Amino acid sequence: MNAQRARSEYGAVLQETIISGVPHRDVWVTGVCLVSSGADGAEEHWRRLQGRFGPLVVEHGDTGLLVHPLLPLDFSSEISNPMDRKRMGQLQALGVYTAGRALTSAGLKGRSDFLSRTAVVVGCAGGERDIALDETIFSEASRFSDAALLNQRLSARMRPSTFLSQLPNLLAGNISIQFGVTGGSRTTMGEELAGVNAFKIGYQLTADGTYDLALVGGAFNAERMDLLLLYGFGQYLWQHAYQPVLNRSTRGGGYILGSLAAFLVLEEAEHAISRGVAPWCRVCGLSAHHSRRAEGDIARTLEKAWNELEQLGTAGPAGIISGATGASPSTEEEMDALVALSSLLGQARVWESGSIFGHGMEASFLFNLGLAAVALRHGRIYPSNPEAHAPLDAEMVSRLLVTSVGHLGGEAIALLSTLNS
Amino acid sequence: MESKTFNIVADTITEECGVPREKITPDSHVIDDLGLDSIAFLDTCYALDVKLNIKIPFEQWVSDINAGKSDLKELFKMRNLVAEIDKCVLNERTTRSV
Repeated sequence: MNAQRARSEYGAVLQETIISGVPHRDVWVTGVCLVSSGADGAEEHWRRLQGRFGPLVVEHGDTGLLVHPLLPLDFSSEISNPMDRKRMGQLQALGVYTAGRALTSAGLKGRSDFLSRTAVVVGCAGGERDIALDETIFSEASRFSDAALLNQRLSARMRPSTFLSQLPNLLAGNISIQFGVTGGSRTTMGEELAGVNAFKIGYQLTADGTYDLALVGGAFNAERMDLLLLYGFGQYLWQHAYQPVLNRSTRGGGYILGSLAAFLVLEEAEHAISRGVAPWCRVCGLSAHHSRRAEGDIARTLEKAWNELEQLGTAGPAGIISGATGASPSTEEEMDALVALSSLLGQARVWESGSIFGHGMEASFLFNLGLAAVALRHGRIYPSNPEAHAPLDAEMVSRLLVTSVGHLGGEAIALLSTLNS
Repeated sequence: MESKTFNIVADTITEECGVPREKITPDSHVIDDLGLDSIAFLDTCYALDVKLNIKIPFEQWVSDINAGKSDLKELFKMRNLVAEIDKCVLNERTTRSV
């Protein structure tokens, strides 16, 4: 396929704008993989969401806390060495597995000529802890006369690979080792904002010409006892019988953690055309801002973000994939803000993924971007969520807005479109 | 007849690294034949430290190899490795009895 045919086939009009004097190249999504409690693979998510399937929610161990657990997976197809799988732990193995499949979907697997100049940008927290060791140290803690003993115990008794798997940037390192992706790598930490910043960095690196290709993604393991304790003690989790995220405010709100992983391949348009790869969608823009979360801040932040996207000449979306967590009051404030923005956004209706897949912190925004990319590949938004407040028709769409309003921060919106939008 | 320590080391390599137990013989080289890399070997040493209540002098071994005092090919052969670990066990017992 030559470049001219590709332009014709995809109906693409290459966009190049200038932002603050810097050339801003057209960026396409050319590969996606999603993994969750509901499905393995981006297209499998699309297929399953066409029907009425209820969310998979279980009580975790004897905690009584609900989680959306990762569906059973065999990571060996992407990580063949059992030693590698073991040392990565569940979180990094999930991320590496998903990244490998995203590379396959973009036609990049094994292509060292491209992978040697592909950036890796990951939004990720530290890996799994050794819970048994933590418990042993806690049980001994009352006898410690010196705080330094705690570090001595940890360094003497922690398995070396467990120590390494707790370094978030080793996810990017493992992706590089497993698949030979040897461009620069960056890792962002910090809950929802980490996913937002990972996408922002990958998008900027591709748009400004630093890289033609960027592998961007993240992973989250909802079944970690330490995280359940952390967010449980913080009173952030939904601790009643399952309800969709928009139905939780009357009982104080809260989110249900969901195991998620998402990786997207971002590629400069001309580069994608020269490779003859079929794009999934275009990235029209991203805007992210810090919010102090004073009253009205979420609405002001989202309006400011949308105004910035509009200045890039973007048209309003036909649908909104919301990353609402279920936490209160941020979920209600986001929904109110989107209604208030309807004069700017048009009558785009909202579909929140968290009711089905749960909240995956660093991975959530990236996962929702992946869901949007699949929907745009098919030119349709997802059919009605039977649990959601607002049914959506399986209508044709060409633009989707993806929101992130984290449980404590991490406000962002991104607009994706079909190529002929 | 393989020694008790050999069996503990071989079982640990199988548990930690997924190497088939039947593949591990006294002549196996842990890197060249069994495929352990540095992190896998560190994990194995950690597990042996816990099982045998010893402290394997891994850093000293690396230092000796780098200084040319030990031969990587020889030290990491199972029979020699087990002999070194037996020395650690003996030292630990001696230290405790003193």
